[in-house]
Amino acid sequence: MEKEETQINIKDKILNEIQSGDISMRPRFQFTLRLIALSALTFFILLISVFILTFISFSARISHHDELLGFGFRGFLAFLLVFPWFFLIVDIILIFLLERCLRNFKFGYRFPVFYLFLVLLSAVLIFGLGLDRGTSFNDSILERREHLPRPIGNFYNQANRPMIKGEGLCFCKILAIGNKKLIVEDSRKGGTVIDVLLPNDLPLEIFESLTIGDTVLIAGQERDGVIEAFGIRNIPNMHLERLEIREQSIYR
Amino acid sequence: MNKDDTDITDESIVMLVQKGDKEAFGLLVDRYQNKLARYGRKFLSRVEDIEDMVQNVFISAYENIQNFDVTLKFSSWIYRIAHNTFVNALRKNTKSFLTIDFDTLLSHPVYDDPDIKEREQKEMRVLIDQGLEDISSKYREVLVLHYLEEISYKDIAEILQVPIGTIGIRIKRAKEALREKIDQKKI
Repeated sequence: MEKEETQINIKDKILNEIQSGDISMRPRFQFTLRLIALSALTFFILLISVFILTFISFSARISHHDELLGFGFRGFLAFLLVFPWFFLIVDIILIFLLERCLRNFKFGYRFPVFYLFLVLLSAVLIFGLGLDRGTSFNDSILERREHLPRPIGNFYNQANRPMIKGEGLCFCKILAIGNKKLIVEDSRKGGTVIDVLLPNDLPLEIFESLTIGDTVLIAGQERDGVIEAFGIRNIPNMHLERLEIREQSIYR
Repeated sequence: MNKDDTDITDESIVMLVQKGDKEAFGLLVDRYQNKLARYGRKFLSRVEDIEDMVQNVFISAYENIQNFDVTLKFSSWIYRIAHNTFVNALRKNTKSFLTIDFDTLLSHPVYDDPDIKEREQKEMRVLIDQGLEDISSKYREVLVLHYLEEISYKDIAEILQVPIGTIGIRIKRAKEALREKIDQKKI
């Protein structure tokens, strides 16, 4: 009996409040607007994450850091050393945010969290790398950076990153070639001349391809101003101009 | 249309409400207030003002009714609102700011066998009566929804907005936890 009365009370109370206007329906457009805003935010976060990833890839390419990966395990470690971790962490945070946004949609919460995160990470990786390696998107932004809005222009000014000083990684200009040894001008130290000991297992064709005046990427261990190289690679001429631009701005 | 007609679906009533028939909302209150109160009482075993909370659920449902897509199930939608209301009430008491639900991380196989379910249903209702209060709210909720409210895994997944595999694993763990608590009581 008491239960029935409570039931009637709730119903009457609610209907009275509805009739008196104390409770009212929110108009449909509010929900539509919210959905549009959420979709736009999700899309925006997706764009930014792809943009950051494509920038990381571009930065590794234009700085020739990705070529360290061709120097075996030690090259891989050197690559990790010069990798822009900050950008990657920001990107992962954005992918987490993206995942949170997608959970508001039906297709989002039906997937297990970890799988959805992996799908998003893969999508961002594929689009980001594809945009950099498959199109000239980043190259054209770099060329037009002076005419672009300042934040983007400044961002791209940082694309060409130097090697870390004192870590045995450098872009150097060959001054002389000896037996198992090079004398180079170190661009990191404003043109200091240093010795580079070549690796014993350096393929002959690479050694023969080196000529005086070439700019080379050297990876090795630096001790007392001498680099014991474990990897050396010619930098193609097409990138030299960019390197010089970057170095001028670094050492200015 | 006769509003006392029990054949009329929830979704049709919602359509009437969306078109401005305020009285029709009373039918939905009639249909769901007992169910929601029972769900709330079992889920929030230590919270007393269930009637107020159920009222808030209906108020929220009315305010947001234009957001309901009538091609979907109204029951899942209103249970979703109730779930949010009850979880907020729980949070007020527990002060947990950030929780990671590991059940939702990976996929889990689902076995929602109707024959096993029928056999289990009676047994579980007895067990739930004996020890529901002693298990965590996360597990309590799925047991209440599945065994007392007789809602399918798929619909519970819609209500809680988690993958269906998560419901399967939660119910499995909830049953284990419940049996363990009851065994402890017996000792």
